[in-house]
Amino acid sequence: MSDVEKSFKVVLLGEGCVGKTSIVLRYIQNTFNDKHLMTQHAGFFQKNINIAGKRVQLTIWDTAGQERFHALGPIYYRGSQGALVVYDITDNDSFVKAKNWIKELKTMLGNDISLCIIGNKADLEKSRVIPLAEAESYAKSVGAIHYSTSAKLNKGVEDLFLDLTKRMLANMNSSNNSTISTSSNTSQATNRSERIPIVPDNAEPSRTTCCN
Amino acid sequence: MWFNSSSSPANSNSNNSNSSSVVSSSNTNNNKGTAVAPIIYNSNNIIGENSNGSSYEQQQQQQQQQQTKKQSSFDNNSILIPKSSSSSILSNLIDDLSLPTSISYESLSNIDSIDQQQQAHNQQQQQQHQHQQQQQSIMIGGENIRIGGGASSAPVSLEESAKEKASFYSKLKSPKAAEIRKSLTNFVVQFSNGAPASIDQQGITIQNYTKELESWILSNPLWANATEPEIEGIRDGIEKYLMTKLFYCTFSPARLGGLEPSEGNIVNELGLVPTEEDLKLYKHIFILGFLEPHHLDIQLSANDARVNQAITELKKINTYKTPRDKIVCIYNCCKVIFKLLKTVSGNPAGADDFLPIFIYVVLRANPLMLQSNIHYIQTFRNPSRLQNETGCYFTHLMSSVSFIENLVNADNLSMSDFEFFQQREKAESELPLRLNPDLLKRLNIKQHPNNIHINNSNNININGGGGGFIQPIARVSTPKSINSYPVNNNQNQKYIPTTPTKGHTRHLSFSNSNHNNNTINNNSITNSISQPMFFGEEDFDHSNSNSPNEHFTFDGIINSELEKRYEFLNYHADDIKIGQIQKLLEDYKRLAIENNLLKSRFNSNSSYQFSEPSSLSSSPALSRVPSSNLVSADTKAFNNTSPILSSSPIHNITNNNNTHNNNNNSHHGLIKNNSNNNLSNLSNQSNLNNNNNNTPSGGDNGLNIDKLSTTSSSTPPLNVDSIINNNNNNQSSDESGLIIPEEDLQ
Repeated sequence: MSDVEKSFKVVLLGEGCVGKTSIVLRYIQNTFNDKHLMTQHAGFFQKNINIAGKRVQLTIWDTAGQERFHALGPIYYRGSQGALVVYDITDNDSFVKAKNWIKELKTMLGNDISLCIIGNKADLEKSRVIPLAEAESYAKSVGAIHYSTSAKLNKGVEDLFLDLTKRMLANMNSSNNSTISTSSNTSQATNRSERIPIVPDNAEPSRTTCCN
Repeated sequence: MWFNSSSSPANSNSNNSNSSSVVSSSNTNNNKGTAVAPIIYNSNNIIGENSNGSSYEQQQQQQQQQQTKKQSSFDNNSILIPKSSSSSILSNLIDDLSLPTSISYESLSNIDSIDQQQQAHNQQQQQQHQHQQQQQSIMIGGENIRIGGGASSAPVSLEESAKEKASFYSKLKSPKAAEIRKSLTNFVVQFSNGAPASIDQQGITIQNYTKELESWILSNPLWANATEPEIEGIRDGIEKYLMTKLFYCTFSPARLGGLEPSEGNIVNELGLVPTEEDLKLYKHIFILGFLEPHHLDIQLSANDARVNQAITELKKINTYKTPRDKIVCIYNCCKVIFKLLKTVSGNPAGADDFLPIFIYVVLRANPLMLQSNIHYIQTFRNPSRLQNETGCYFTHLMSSVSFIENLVNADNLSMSDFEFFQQREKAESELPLRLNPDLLKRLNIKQHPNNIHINNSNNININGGGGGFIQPIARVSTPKSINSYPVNNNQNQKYIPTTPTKGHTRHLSFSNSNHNNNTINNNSITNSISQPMFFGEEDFDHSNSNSPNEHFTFDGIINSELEKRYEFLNYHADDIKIGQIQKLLEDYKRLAIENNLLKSRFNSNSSYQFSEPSSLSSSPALSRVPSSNLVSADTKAFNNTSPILSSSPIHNITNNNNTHNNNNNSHHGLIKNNSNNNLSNLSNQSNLNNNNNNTPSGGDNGLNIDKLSTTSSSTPPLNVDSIINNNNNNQSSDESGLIIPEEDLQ
């Protein structure tokens, strides 16, 4: 079986109660059945996906969103390639916090990190207080990409992770195109524009259970 | 067959049908330098596994006999097998994945350490007991504990790599791997002989070597087509081999403790000497012991069994040598919390719920040497593994510690600042009373220099009077002295950029330079015995009387409670053991404080007059004062050089007669902190007393305070501050190294 070619660390930021954990849970639970659930402890999620023939491992680090833990952020996002900054579209404060995170991430990690701004709870469109346009233009201004999701309705969640993974791959390839040694299909990854089939990574689990 | 789960939970997976069984196979015979790995909780079962150290060969035979049995017993008694026989069986290992992870490791280590076996055996016997106790605590009631998701499917789980590591070690036995073995042993020898001094440098050396060795190993036909888990197993295997052997010179407390190289993965915590940083954090957390779950917004009872279990798990971190096993302790601790969270919420919880509980557990567990452990793991743990799940938990630990370190006020807590400071003050004042003697003894190595700022007799310590013994008095009497917090307690030095006192750094170098545990202990005893804190007290005391008991007698009030508190009350000289001296000393000091407190209260209400100076000349503290620092009968000299006066409550006296001298602001902040409240009520006493009393030092040195000390006796609480401003600056120029510059205090 092939090995994981690239492992990405994605950090999950956002105020408490914006549903950041739910998004990941939704993603993981819907993509895989229980048997193939990746590690799913509090605060840490891990799964392998195949993207364009590349095996990519995503490790998603949840962080505590309470204000009192804000200062701990750098300990978590150090060395991460992607960040999901989640806010609640019905809560202006959470958007302000999200902006703070983005600013911090930009300062600490520069362009090495793929930033996603996620407006969660899209199912509560009626109570929206953050105009979509505003959020999107903000995202654009900081080089991030904005996504609208609803963890409750499972809307936009999968696309989000897929897109993020692609961006991280592209980012990796562009930043050190010459130094990637493990991957044999570096060139493939860069010119991928069509829809890439994502298949659950069943090979890995089946290996460990084969002893049955 | 590797998921023969009962004996090797590390390998059991979620398909295990025994979902509700809890198995602890206590394999405790570690007759050879054994690597005992901490138990990894399985996703379904909590299984205690003592990766067994019983005679490997015998175990091997047993395993072959018992492979059909669910639970093989490893209770062999120790049998030393000659070197020659060990490798013959090794090849059997290669496919036998059901072996507990460390067995093959053990055999590896024994190849080059047969002659150390006997020695290791002795150590292991001691450790067995310890470990057995741990085993018990791992047993969890028979409920189905589903903590952790399907670990089986994680690409390279900790459990899996343990298996791979075992396989790595078994392959290493092959003759084809002889070169690799040789390289490993050579590296250990070389490193032991010429290890870089700095731990960071050591880390780089070891990591580089590991990387090189890894690629070398992968080029070996034995490991051709190695899978990712196998590679991880190799890394873990190398790490475990190296770190077990090199623990003694890579783990700071082991270095401080002068640990000898030893086999086995278990280390006796008592041989380790915590570093300055460790003690700082330990004390800080200890003082924060008043924090309750609700202060962190946790809906949890403080005595929840699982919290206690998590605490137990975390505390084991000091038991193991290798970074991996230390991480496993963290991992296990976290897993208990996941389980707790799951029963509370039913859903896999996020970090929002997890982190506060984890912080609470860290607060409660307060493992000694936490900082050293973190640094050690950071430095020596295979970096790729720090990005993994276990790395995530390690990160949680780091962030928890960071959070805790910054708990210097109630900003991040659900409590008021006032309450926080009040509670902390109380906790600090009780510190000597609440720490158990053993820990206190170890803590004292650092605690005294930090806490009691009058360190060594030749140090002028400006903040001395307040830092150590005066402060508790003030705390007892005026718990509201919020202003005095930031500087006086030493963990705050981290946040308020005070330069450490000379004694502080001095002590650091002192402990660093002593690699012999005994030396340290001896020194620390002498240190504390000879500590000028005595004269801090007695100065303060103005020892009015020959016998304190004249004023403060225990007659008639001895009861069982007192006996509990003063455990030496009914002791005879013969009853006291050497180990109790520290405690006795503490008790004595405490009594002296209380005595002083009572007297100062008494004095402030009556014009108490001293009859004669104290017998300070007999104090060991004084006798250690270098003569150059002793005070001449001259007022100027008195002001300029006396450590005694400057370092003690005699500040008041000193200051009284220095009012005419130059301003010295450098003392201002510090003393202010000590004195605003601490000294205020005491200064009544001082000032009153000064009027007609020779201070102890004055008595000794022919200095007559009488004529010096009358100026400001009438307004004690006020004068402290102003007087401090008037402290002479000659002191600071003479002993500038000791004085905390004012700017540092603000």
